[in-house]
Amino acid sequence: MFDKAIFGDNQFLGVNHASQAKALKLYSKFEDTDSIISLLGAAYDSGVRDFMFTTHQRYDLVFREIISSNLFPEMSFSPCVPYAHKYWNILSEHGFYGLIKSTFHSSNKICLLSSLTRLLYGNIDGLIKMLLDLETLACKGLKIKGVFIQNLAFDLIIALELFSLIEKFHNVVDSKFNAIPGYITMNHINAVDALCSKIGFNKPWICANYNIAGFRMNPSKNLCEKSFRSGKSYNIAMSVLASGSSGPEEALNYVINGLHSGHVHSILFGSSNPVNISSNIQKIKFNI
Amino acid sequence: MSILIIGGGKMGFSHSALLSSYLGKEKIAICDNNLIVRIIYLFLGFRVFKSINDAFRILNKISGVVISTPTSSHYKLTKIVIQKKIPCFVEKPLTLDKSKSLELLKLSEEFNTYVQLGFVMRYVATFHNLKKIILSSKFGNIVSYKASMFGNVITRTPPADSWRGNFSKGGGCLNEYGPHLIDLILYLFGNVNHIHSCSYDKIFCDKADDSCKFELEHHNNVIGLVNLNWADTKQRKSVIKLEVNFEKLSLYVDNSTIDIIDSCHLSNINTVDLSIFKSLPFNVKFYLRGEEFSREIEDFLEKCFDQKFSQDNFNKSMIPTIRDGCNVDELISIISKKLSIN
Repeated sequence: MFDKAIFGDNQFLGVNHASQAKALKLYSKFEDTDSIISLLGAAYDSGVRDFMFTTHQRYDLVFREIISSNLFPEMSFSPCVPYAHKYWNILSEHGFYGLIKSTFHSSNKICLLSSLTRLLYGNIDGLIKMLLDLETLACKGLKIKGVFIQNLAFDLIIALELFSLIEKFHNVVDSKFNAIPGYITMNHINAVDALCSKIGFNKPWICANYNIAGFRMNPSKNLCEKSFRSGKSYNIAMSVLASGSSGPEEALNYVINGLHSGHVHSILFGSSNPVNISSNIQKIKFNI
Repeated sequence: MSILIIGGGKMGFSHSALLSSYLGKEKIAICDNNLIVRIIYLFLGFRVFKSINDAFRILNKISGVVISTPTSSHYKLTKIVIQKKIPCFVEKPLTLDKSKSLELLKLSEEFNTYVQLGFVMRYVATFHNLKKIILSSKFGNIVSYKASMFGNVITRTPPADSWRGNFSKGGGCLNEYGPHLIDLILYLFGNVNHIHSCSYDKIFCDKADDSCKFELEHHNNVIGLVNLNWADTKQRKSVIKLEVNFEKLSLYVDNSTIDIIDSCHLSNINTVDLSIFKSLPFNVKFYLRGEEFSREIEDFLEKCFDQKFSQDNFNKSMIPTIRDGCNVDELISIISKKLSIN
């Protein structure tokens, strides 16, 4: 199970849905390894034990340092794959062939050949394992708790009705990575339908927007809340502060109520301010 | 009943996924003349065709067509679809040739065919909200504005045969970013009377503009300074920024936020209901890449199937039409002649 409070990484990658200016400042602020490690340290000291992050190359040196210096021994790490912007830009510039070539150019050619051969017989496990290995290369040596599919990839896969891909991903993460498979989505209802009804998973972990303002809760806040309460999935609430569209205390209390009611199982939050991180942890984990 | 997507590249791929989520994959067909692209879509489970004629011959009923090919083929394909009287969604820009665009406009009127343009920025909540603020005249008339679109589409010299690096093939910043920002400017501030000055720079491309600037005067005497740059490596993604100077107030608006930057001409800022500046993104039935992409497709599907797909009741006058496509092409044509990009 994931911790009640999961620390996210929007601040490290310059993601701020409320302000492009703040987003750019954050992107510059966390350009160097030390600043990321410093904030992770502050989060760890506050009680954070789960860190969920996109597999961005910005973390290569960060993780190398964490592993070599044995930092944060009780922290679990959950990579979210893939870093979609990278692949989207390659697709724009070089098309499908360029995307495939670029993705696999650094992989072991024998493994690639073996995976492609198995692909011809309809077996995609090898290819999925290879893709996940490539994406999580920098994480080798970390204590991995979960492996999540990012929303752009996951929502694309369910839109294209490629449910067998999800099944294979689930199996590979479970058996080869010994981790919890998770699904980030901007469409909770569609995700539950795909994972539970179409594929038949029992209570998969789904990470989706859940906030007082209904920010990016599609198709509506009411229907999303209903889907959260259905009991068909374990739910991680994200965008909990609704990108500043309501007061932070009010926003956090709303999601914590979901935790107490049992339809929210973890709260994912990010922050660049150690004081706010500590305050959020106190409220979420210790009800203070 | 099917939606045919012509052009299976990046935008075609995005549309195929989005449309599948709304209608089901079995109702979507892809047309692309590249064999590898067709094989990929076949592998994904779509019906595929090599040519538009094949698609029209074989598909039972086509309810709508999405054209997401390179700009150079928009004219020919849109003309065929208009003449078949099928609702059509054309990715921006329309043709980049004002006489061809005008011809398509007249044809669409003659055949009474619905054509929607992919000027997706109109569907971004903050810009939509800004339009409402402008129409309300709450802060007086607009005096002037600054508009910019910066991004990192080009971060190194493109290959010599790349269309992106060649202005005459539809490449360059003005052709790529220009349609988005220019349509937004025309939509928000009205028609343009004069172009006072323009300049461009080459940063990575030899045969195209990587950045350009121009000053516009609108019919209502509004002056605008426009700045485009697609080679800004500091940007994580493309962002449109506007500074709009009303008689009583100045606003900063980008894809995420509306902020007051100067209210010294307002008699009492406390009388302003600040909630009008809050822009929650629209709710959509299925989110992929951004609400704006889903929302524009919902408007298109409503025309194709005459049933409601959207979650709201927005004014349909915001939908970008073929006439808007013509206006953008005309302005880009005038600017590019003044710039003499080669």
